[in-house]
Amino acid sequence: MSTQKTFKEKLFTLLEPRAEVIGLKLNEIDENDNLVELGIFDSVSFLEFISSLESECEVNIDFSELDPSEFSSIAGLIKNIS
Amino acid sequence: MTTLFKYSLSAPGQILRCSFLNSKTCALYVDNVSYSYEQLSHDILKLTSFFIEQQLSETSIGVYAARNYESYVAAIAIMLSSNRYVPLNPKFPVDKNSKICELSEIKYVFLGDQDSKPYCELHRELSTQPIVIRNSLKKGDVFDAEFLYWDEHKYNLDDTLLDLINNLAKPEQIAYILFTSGSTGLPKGVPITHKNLASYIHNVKSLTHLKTNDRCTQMFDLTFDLSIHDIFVTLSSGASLYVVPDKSVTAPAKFIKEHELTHWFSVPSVISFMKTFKMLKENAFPFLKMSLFCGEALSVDNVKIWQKACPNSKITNIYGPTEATIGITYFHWNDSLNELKFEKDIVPIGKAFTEQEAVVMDEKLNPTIENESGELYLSGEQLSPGYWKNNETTAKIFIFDPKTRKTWYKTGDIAKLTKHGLCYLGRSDSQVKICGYRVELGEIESTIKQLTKAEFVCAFSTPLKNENATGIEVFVSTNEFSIIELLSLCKKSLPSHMVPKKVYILQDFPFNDNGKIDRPALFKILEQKYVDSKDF
Repeated sequence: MSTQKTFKEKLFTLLEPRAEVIGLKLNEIDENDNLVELGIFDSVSFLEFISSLESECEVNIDFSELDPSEFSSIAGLIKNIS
Repeated sequence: MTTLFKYSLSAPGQILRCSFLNSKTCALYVDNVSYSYEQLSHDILKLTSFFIEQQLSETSIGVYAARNYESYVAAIAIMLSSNRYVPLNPKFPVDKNSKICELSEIKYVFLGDQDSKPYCELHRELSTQPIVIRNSLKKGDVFDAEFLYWDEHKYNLDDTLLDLINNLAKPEQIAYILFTSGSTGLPKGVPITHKNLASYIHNVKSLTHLKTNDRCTQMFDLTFDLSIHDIFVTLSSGASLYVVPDKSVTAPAKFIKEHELTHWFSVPSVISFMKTFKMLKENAFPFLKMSLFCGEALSVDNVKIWQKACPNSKITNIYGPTEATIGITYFHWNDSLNELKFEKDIVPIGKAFTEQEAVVMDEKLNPTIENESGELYLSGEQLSPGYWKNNETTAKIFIFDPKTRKTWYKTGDIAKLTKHGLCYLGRSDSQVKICGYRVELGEIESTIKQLTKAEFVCAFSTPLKNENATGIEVFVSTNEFSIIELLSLCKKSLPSHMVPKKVYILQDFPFNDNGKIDRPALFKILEQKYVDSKDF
């Protein structure tokens, strides 16, 4: 339980400044909203973001069978990474 | 009527011919739907005869080009009907699209099978509001504009119509206009004629040899000329074009495997992304038969990794600016080259296609000797007639040499001729490539100056000292805006690949003896920031 909370916290810390740039607050974003479609990321910066999450949270994701689009919402990130 | 094309038909005419021969084959796979050549040719003919009925010819028609089925139909039909295809990118900020509309004098916009909301914003901005061409299924989705519904048009396909359609597009007419980054902040329009396009398609098809059971990738945005390659090479060969969904284009491993695609075409950056995400294990894509890379420097490291992941694939590096129609030189990679050392560890760009020329020369247009670097100049049938309504820039860049009576396009790329053919060494100016997109640092600087009224702005591409940039960092002298405010402004006015990753507010800009911004000094500041962040 506690690890999931920590992951979510880490995720929000990293997401917050990026959302702010386009004038969004994190509590305005639905967990299922697509972060790329919202304009928080483009396809490149989204991959870089996942990469920074990987190192920040010390996890290693094998993408050879996964599509990055499965990660593109807050819910998707929590489900697939934490 | 006799046709004037050296290769018998215009490039869009070749697609039409091919779709009659392969009616049951899948032409396009897009948004989880497969469209046969029969359906494609039906829709192309319908839209083309609609343009004829509207008496449109040599008119710039914008396509608000999300990568959906109707956008592909429109691109082909616009060119086939001798009109000018001008793709607009829904991902671009309104500013950039409206500049493109005004510069290319767009009077009609084809709005494909998509929600009109993002387009509406652009429509309102335009001083001359275009007539919107739509599908009648979208009649409920209205806004304040004049509409025409193309699918309600009826046509009778007979030999007369077919003959008419096949002979509409003339070699010297403009097939499409694409806009590239211009250092003044105003995009430069590059018109490509039917002759240019037919010539490229003929040349590149001598490398691809597609068969009707081949499946090819379509990953590029339609505002990027490499998408023209995808559409025309695949659909004039009877093969199938698989449109990789937007959300998967930077890391398409799963999509490629699922559909067992056989032909790959991307910018080299995609290799780097896929590598980061461990998608390039040995033999990951055994079914790939051919991989083409274009748009930026291809590193030897990346090509080796790619070859291991796709052991059955031929790999070809293609080079060419938009002005010379998609690609003009090529180099085949193979395992026997693994142990060799190449200039800057970049895969050579090789030699020019048949009847095209790529020559390293000095400023007086004298060819340099082997192994001596100089600027790369291009000539031949693939060369655009010059920038759209911009004689001044055209005269500087498209140079007529009275000695040889040839026009040379001055690429701004530094290259040298080696025993492996031409090798790319870098740029002679401040143009950088980000994921294959040409970016003039000057365009970013002048846009930020306009937005902020800041006196001094200086942009760099990062990683520093790397041929292929992944991002932009900018110094700005302002005390009116915070970093976050600056970034939001940039997001509203610049396409996402040009939005700075980092902004540094700097009040005391360093200057050199000529009173110009001291770029090397700022470069050092950036370099130091990277060293510091690593220590940390």
